[in-house]
Amino acid sequence: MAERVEELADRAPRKTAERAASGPPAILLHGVTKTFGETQAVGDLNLEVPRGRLYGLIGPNGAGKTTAIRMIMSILQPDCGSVSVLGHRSALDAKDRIGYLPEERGLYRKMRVGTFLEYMGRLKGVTASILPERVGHRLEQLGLEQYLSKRCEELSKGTQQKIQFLAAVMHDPDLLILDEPFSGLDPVSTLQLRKLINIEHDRGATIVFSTHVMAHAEELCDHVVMIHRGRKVLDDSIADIRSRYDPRTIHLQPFRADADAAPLRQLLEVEDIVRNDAELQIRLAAGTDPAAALARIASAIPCSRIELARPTLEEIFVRTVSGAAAGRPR
Amino acid sequence: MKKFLFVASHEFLSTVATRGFIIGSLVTPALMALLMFGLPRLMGQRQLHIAGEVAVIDPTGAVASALQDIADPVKIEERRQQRAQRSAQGAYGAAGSGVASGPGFDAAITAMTGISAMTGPIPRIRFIKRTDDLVRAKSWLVQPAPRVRHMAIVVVRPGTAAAASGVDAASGVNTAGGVDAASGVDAAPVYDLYVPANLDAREEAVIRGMLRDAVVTVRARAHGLALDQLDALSQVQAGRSITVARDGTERPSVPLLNALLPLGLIMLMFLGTLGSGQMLLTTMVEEKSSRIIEVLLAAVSPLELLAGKILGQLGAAMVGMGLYLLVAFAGLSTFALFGLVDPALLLYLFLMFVISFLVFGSVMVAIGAAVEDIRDAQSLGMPFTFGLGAVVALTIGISLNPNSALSTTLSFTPILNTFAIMARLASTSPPPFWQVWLSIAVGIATVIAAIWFAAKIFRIGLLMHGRPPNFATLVRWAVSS
Repeated sequence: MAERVEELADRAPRKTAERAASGPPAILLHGVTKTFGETQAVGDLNLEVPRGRLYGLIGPNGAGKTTAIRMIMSILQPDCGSVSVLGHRSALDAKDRIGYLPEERGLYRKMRVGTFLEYMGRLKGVTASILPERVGHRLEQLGLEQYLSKRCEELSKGTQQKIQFLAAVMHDPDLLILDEPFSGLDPVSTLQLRKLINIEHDRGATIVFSTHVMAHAEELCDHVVMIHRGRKVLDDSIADIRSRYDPRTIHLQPFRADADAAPLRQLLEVEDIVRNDAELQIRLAAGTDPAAALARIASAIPCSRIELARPTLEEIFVRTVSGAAAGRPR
Repeated sequence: MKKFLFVASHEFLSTVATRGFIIGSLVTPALMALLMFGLPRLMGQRQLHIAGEVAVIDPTGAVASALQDIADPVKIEERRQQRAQRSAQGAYGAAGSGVASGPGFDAAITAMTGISAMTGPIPRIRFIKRTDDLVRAKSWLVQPAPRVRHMAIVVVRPGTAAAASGVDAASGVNTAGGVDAASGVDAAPVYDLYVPANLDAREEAVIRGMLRDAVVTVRARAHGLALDQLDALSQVQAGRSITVARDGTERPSVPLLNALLPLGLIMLMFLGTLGSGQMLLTTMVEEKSSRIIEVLLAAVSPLELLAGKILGQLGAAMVGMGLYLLVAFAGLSTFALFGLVDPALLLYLFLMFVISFLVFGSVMVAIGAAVEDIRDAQSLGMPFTFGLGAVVALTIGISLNPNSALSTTLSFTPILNTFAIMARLASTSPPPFWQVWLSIAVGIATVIAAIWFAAKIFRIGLLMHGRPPNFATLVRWAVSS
């Protein structure tokens, strides 16, 4: 099953870059705000997602990602600001070109898988005559063809989630919006779904997915938007983020576990050292050239392993949020 | 095809093609048929076998003797047969004119006379004359009697049983005291009846019936008549009643049908509206609680979803109603009564049902969208369900007094108006046309208001989770959105 997805992923043409700049943005939000009672779920959100890109909307639970997505989908109306989706003022006008996998997923429990997928395809404007073949093809992509006549309630949770994903892409959408697509999936299913997302992306679809597991975004996206307490705190490509947030930590494993770290403390480049079992985590001083520091540290203490640790998106998020909090007037 | 039609067709098929709907649609008409034809037989089989002893304290002895004669099982059987034959002859006489004809009608008459003849097992009561005092008789009544039940004590009041014999039949002059001067019939109680605590009401009724026959026998003898003669004299077979239609055709009048028609049509509307409304409520809550709703909203607008669901359920309700109507028509055809139903009534039935369904269905779907637990949904929808139930309960009153102030007022009361006007239309005194069309206009205005309300609630409620709203909150949503 996994091999089949991989094979399809390899065959899919890579044409993302060519499409990225063509046409109006897939999504354009300008000053979008949404308040529920006294809680502002999303505040003054500006966002532009060019066509053909794979965007990650990241942030902790309750950050406002789902509300933002629901406004993009015109399921919720913003209190103020404007939304444009695939060049339309409302997603309602382009529903048949959008695939959507909501965070709170559901199926018709009593309905058979094939019937469910055909129904969703019909609702998305797919011609009835081609639907059976397409349903079969989509199920085959995930190796789920044996479930065609099963009732949805008979499927495992992971399989149900895959069926829901297939329902979202049954009409080959131009824009695919996935809200927490990996939640509740086991590692194998997560891998399968990631590959399917890549297939859709390679087909040419613009993809926006939200996640609170930032590692997923880091592995999958070419661009991330961080949201914290309803406000955008970061909007950049992965490459730019990596280059902007210089690595400032070196992980070192001395030959001897009880090796003295004193020689390292004398180096100007070293700001702090934390011993973590047999490993030393060396934090570099601001403005230090990591490559030069790496060489000086390696010569200062014999080691079996030394590496420059890149900051994870999670670390960047924490740093960004704490920076924003520090800069906020009290 | 418009997307709401896909939703409607899905809603329709997922309702109609379920085992529950099929069984429900077949079982309810079957139950109706059972009630119509099977219940009398079932009830007959469940009648009591009455057996026991009754003590009679009768100073004259005349009533006691008559009682013993009347309670003879052989004579009871003979009397039953004679009465059944007289009823059958009378019924055939009324039906034999050609106005009400056909094998179905004849079969119905035969069935009716058969039922009238079948009055349950013959009671086996032995009346025992007692000459001792009442105190001792009472102790006899309450003492345990394992083999033969002690059912009652009858104490005939002296001078009352044959009181009519002391009345001059021609003048009605009172010669025995307590006699009504106008009728010549004794107004004072003839006997006292003492019964044990566990005597069944039906058993007491049988004893009282026999006592009545015995007293009448004594009185008849005083006038030189026999009970059979009195029986024959009191029998008056009703003449036939013929309905003359506007086009001049004649049909047998069926007063029962006139009384039952409004109730039947209202029940049909009620069952269709309530059943489909509840179905809308349930499916809505299920879709919301299973979280499929957001997937649907990504494909269709809330208004398309709302319209599709209501339309689909309306179709399912029409199928259900159609089945019930078929059963009803089949029943009417069997008794050659099909022609008695005015076709215009069916048109009105369709119209009124659609209006009432759209109103009730919209409210139900709005409530279903606002909550995610079926119990919360039912408690929010209860006032509307009770309202429908109340109007059905009033139907009999409305059809008996179709032009009363209450009937007229209800005809223009939103939500209830369709039921009230339908009951009046089916009554023997239909309302004037302007009232019918005004009621329809009120209905259409209510439909518009209900759909507006539902659309507002629907849009907000679908994605609301957590504490269920109360009705005031729903109104606030509708007004504020």
